Amino acid sequence: MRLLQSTDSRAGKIRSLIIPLVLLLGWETLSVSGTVSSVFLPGPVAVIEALLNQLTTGTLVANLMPTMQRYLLGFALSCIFGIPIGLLCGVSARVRGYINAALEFLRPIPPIALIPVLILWLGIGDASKVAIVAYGAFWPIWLNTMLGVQEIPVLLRRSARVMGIHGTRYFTKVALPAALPKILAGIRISAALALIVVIAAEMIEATSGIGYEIVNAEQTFHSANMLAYIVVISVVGYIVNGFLRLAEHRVYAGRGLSDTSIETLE
Amino acid sequence: MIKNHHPGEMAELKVRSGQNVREQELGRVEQDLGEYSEKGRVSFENIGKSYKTVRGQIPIISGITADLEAGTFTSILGPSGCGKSTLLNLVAGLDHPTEGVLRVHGRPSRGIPDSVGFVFQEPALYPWRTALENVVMPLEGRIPKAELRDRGLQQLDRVGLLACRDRRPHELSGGMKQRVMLARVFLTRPAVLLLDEPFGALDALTREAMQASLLDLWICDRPTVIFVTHAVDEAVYLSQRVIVLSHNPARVATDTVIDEDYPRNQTFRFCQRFSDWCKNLHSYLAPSFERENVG
Repeated sequence: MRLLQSTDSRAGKIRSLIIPLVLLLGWETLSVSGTVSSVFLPGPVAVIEALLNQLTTGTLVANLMPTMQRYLLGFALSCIFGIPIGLLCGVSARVRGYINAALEFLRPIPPIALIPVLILWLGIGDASKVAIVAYGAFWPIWLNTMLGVQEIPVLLRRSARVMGIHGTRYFTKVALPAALPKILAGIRISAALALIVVIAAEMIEATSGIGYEIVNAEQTFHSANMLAYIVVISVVGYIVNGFLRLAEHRVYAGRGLSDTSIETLE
Repeated sequence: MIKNHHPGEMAELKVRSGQNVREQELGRVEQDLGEYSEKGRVSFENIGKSYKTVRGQIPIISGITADLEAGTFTSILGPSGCGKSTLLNLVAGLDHPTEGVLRVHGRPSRGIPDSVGFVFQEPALYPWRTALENVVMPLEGRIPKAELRDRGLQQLDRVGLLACRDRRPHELSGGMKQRVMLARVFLTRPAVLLLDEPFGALDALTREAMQASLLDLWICDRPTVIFVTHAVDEAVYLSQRVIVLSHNPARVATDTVIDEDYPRNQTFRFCQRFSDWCKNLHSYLAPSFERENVG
């Protein structure tokens, strides 16, 4: 609670920068002084140089585009499947009975383990990567949507019944909006997971993309490029998370809930 | 079907058909009165309800018989946990009796009956909707948007909350929330209105104001009201008839018509006859309290 409040203030913001700055400085010193070979650990300045170089030559964009395409498409698919199936499972015990056992059987399979299988089925192109991202990101969205619906207070459910709100109207007017905070929390977890999965899939088998370039740079000893692409992943994750947090913040504020509830939902 | 309308209902029907033809086609809420022979009438015939537990069948309600005519205001009075709320849930179709016949609008009740409104003990407001959006919820998608908004605003005005139309539930006080609930339940002009200790959580002054609002709304629309409460004075002040339930299982201890001017006037609260009525009804409640203490 106190930690969250203090990061909001200006002093808190400055404080939160101290450790990263010290680490960067230490890193640069290690690299420049020659303590660690620049092949193993190029300094932050070298990494930034590599990043700018990739940006001006257009290699960064050429690799970021396919990654983002796979990432966003897979992530969108996971929402398209995860939210409706989660809503159905949340509302109907019968649907839960049919679906949950099968889903719980699939859930422990790590997405990474399915990469070879999907490449075999869907080929080395984008389809297999999109599918694997969708698979990996599906679980938190499905689970959170289902729990969100199951947690709707009995009073609100009964009240909807008495008002004659059932069937499709119940889904759109009660279940979906009531579960929204929980769904958004699930989406945010999935967004992070989808990024991990897309990079991993590209590292295993691809001809383009950030993951592919990381492996490529590692094999050709371009360590600065390798780290530059890792920084790109971090920035993408940070931006996506920021947008989703903003959406969550708006939903929470609209219901008179504090932001600290966002943390507890995870 | 026997078309046997109450004379008052016929008059109302005529007025409505002249007013707005569409209003009669509002789905479940304002249906053709011909569909029901006795719209608004609720009758209990030897109603019993028991629950299965590990210790066997536990009766909650037993042998309740009462006939509530359309447009009357009846209170169900009883100690906490005696089964009053269960009785309302039966009428609302949220639960089913294990014995007897329950008729709503003169028909044996199956499922959620038409034209029944329910106000719960806690305000059942949807936190992502504004006051107005909460009020119009039952008719949303069933009538044109402009008309929906007008009707919603009209209801909010009736409960004195027009200025708060855009506030969300967390920005409203407990009394205001229950007013929004009243506005929502009156939006559909239900023929039967069930209230489950709606003012139980409010302070004394807010409660009196809410009682006055409820009576005002009732005078205009004349639904059959079943008002559940554990407060004797509230029952005497609000209702034409009070049914006192005993405890374990709930049975009718007394069924009394409060034979005083109706609707009441604020001065009634302070006159001797009011306290006499309260004393009289309280005597039926007292034995159950004693039993509770011994148990």
